[in-house]
Amino acid sequence: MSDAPGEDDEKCMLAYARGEAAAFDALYARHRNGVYRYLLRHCNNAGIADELFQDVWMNVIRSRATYAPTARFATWLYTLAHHRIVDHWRSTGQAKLVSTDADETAGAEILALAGSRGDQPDVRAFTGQIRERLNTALAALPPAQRDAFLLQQESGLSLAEIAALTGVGIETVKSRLRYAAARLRAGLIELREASADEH
Amino acid sequence: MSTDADRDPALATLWREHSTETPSPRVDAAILAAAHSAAESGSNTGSRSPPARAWRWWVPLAAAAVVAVVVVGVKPPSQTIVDDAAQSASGMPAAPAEKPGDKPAAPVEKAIAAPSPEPRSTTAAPAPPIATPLHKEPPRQKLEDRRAQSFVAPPPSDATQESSAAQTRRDEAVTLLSIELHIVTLRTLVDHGRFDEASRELARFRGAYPDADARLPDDLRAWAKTVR
Repeated sequence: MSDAPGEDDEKCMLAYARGEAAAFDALYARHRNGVYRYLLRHCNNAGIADELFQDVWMNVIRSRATYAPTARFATWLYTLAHHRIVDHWRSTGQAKLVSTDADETAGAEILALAGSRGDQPDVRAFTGQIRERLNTALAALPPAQRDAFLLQQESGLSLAEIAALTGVGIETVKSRLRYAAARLRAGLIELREASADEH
Repeated sequence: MSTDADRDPALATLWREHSTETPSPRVDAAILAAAHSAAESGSNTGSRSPPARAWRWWVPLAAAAVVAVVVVGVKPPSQTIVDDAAQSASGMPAAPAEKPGDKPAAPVEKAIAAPSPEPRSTTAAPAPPIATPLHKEPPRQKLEDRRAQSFVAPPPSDATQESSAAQTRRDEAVTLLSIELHIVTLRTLVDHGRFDEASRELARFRGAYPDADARLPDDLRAWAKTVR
């Protein structure tokens, strides 16, 4: 999520277009983490995420003079990020991000997650397991569900904004979010049960 | 900011606590240097801008500069040659440094401006002088941690204090995560009508945290009152 999503994002972007470099610094500080994690969770590769992240922000820089605050800056920024990840997947022949809602057939249980039952888990190890489980479950989500979840968690966009950004209806976004949350929670419950069994 | 009512607060909190990755310092340095350079140019590059990959050749140089800045930053003041006043007032990473006697343009500026017909700025972005690192390069993760901290506030001068504070923050985060996981589990079990399992989970939560009931959201607390 953005560190401090500001209502003056649009003003900052316009100021940057006028040549105020500090305005870009503010925008970057607010949104760098969210955008980076959005891309990282989609590609699961820090090197690729770095490259895509650079591309997104370079796009912001290049587009500064033509930027028009017709929507929230965050919406525009995550649209750039969304398009970049789609382009990346197209170029690598991976699954399409936005397709039909066939990905919402939640019949298949995706959380075939083997519990980490190695060492006696202390709290820190348990935390690592949570992180691992979340990432694994997220990576196993259909791309459209993962995209909706990441946009909600990392960008702070509203459902309507996510719907507009991804080109689907609000109900579809809600559906994707419900499935995503259910699957992530299922993964966490398995972890909790595995942990309880060990004690 | 999203205010949608159907957002799962427990899952969102858990996600935030575990989603902590940040871009690497070299990426930060590259982007900020490019942004500052573009701002100084005073005009939009638009379609005349170079391809995005054209400026990446200098990334290793920028990374080296960032490493040097970070290494210098952790030294005691007496060993630091860096002029603190030259640091960016915004707390952002500095542009890649140049050696005395080099041309004024930093590498990033060259890379971005070279293919462009735009006039080059004769005043390069201010770059802090770089001291030769006396320390062995710290591990990447430590660098990133330090970089992330410096993004919001200057690092504390006392390394021990910093370490202790970081440990405390991590411990608090771990506790919060554990609590949130209990709550997420409880909510899911209750939502699915698995009340026997939910009761056992509640017992585990109460065993781990004496004030477990007080930590529950209102709806779960109401249900928990019915469970011995």
